[in-house]
Amino acid sequence: MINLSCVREKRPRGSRDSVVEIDFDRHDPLMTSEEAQYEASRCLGTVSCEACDVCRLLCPDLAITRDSLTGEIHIDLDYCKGCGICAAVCPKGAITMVLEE
Amino acid sequence: MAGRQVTQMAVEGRTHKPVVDRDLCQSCSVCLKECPAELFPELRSDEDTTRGYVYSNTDLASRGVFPPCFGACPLGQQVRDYVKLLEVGKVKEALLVIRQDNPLPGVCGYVCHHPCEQACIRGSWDDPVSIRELKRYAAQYEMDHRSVIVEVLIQRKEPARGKKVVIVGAGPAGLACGFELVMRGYGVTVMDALAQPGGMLVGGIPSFRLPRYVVDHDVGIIRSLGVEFLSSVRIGRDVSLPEVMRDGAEAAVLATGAWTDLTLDVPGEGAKGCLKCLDFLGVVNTGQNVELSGRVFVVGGGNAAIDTARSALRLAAEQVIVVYRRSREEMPANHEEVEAAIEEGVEVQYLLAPKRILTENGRVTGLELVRMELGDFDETGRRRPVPIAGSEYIEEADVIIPALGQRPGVSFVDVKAISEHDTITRNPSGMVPGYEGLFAAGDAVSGPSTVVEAMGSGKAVAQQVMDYLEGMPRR
Repeated sequence: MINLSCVREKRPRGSRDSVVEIDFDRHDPLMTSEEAQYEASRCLGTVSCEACDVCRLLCPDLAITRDSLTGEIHIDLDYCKGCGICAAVCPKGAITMVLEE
Repeated sequence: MAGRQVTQMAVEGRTHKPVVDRDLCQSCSVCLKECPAELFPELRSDEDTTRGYVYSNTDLASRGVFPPCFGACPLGQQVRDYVKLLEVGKVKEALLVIRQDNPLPGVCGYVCHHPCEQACIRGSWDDPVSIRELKRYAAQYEMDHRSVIVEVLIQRKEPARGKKVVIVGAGPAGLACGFELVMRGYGVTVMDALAQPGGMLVGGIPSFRLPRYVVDHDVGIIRSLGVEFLSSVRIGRDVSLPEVMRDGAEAAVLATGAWTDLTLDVPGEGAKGCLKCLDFLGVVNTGQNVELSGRVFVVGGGNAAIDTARSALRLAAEQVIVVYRRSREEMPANHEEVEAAIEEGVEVQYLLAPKRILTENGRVTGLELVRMELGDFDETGRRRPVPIAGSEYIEEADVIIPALGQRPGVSFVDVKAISEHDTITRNPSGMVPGYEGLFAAGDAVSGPSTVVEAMGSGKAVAQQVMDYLEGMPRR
């Protein structure tokens, strides 16, 4: 174990006068939810399908279009034959095939 | 995955229609293999947007795996996925993405050295995304909603396989390994020499960098998943290695870390007032009252040195001076930790090495230092410090704490399995040569590293343990 009895008598405080006394367990406060959302929004990764055109490129019926303004994927069900290729290739598994009523 | 089910094409008309679930569609990851921006370069060269600027000014080829944050993480976390979930305020979902790869999100939120942020390509535009801060934010959600997370994790657990694994050491590597194995359905017992689990997280890292309730929470989650903890059991003292192996376990993992301080090897080191870095941090971290005053010299440039200096400053030392034999660029300590230490009043002096400790009646009175200059590159890729002859001078000192680094100290293993760097050797399947079913992970294998690297090692070894156990015929 450590024996610190070696320490000599205290010198007058000199060099640390300018430094604020430090709380031992000081931590920076956590982010607020707004700060977290802003910070996360700085990431250049994409939030939805906008940068991935795989389903659109592979759709044999050209039923999938991409809104050039919002980047959203739109499936035109009037032309879709239900082949399921888009659901198979979607890298996020975000397209599911559901039984039509 | 539900979305990948493809039904046979209907003969008469359409039977199914595709539905995009925007909640699931985060970012496509297709760029990992077949980047659509290769097909549509305008996505990346649009000068009007931040993305266009950053992508056109970043050498993606040199970045390796894409996205770079994912490639840089020793745990292989889906950084972009959870950051993007946080952007839309889905904290729980983000946390569950983090939880897939990271058994200690709270701990990483505080002390990870965030290689992801160094790799972040946003850094070439302004500042990298504060990924660690975001993880800390998400981990706070976990602490506030503990039962929800435990419920999901228990659902994710694989059915019990009826096999038991013993892990020696409850540090980051041991905890990560234990978490992985318990999730795969093994019975896991973790033994540790300290009174509470955490290893360096509780015995080495000061609480001003990592609050103890965060460690307790992360360990508590692992405990509630069914991992058993044995405290105050030191291998080699309370229990021998063969006893660990025999204890009804089919495999054992040594994750004992690196706990032996390197010594200065200068005259006068045994004097009163010359402390050992890990002893000092251990005493401070277990909450024992330490009286420390006068002029404190810390020798070394790693994170332990900076932690020691900042702890000493908090214990009312008059002046704390860190001396490092190389220059600032070569310093292995995290940049921001050094900044914080300097801000608090720690003095850091570069290109200085101790030559002799001056003593009087067996007590430290001073330190003789010699100036260094940087010479040729050595095998670590850093420039070797060379002493300048005749530049010795003496500084008055009351306490000297050498913090030069650690080595594993693994004398309980057969000498044949110890390398020349005092680390445990492994064969390609992760096993320690000469022992059947004994694996090793973490700093005991790699020498001192970081929390997240040790966790990555523990995780990788968990996979090897599983390969071994599943290849073994059931009794």
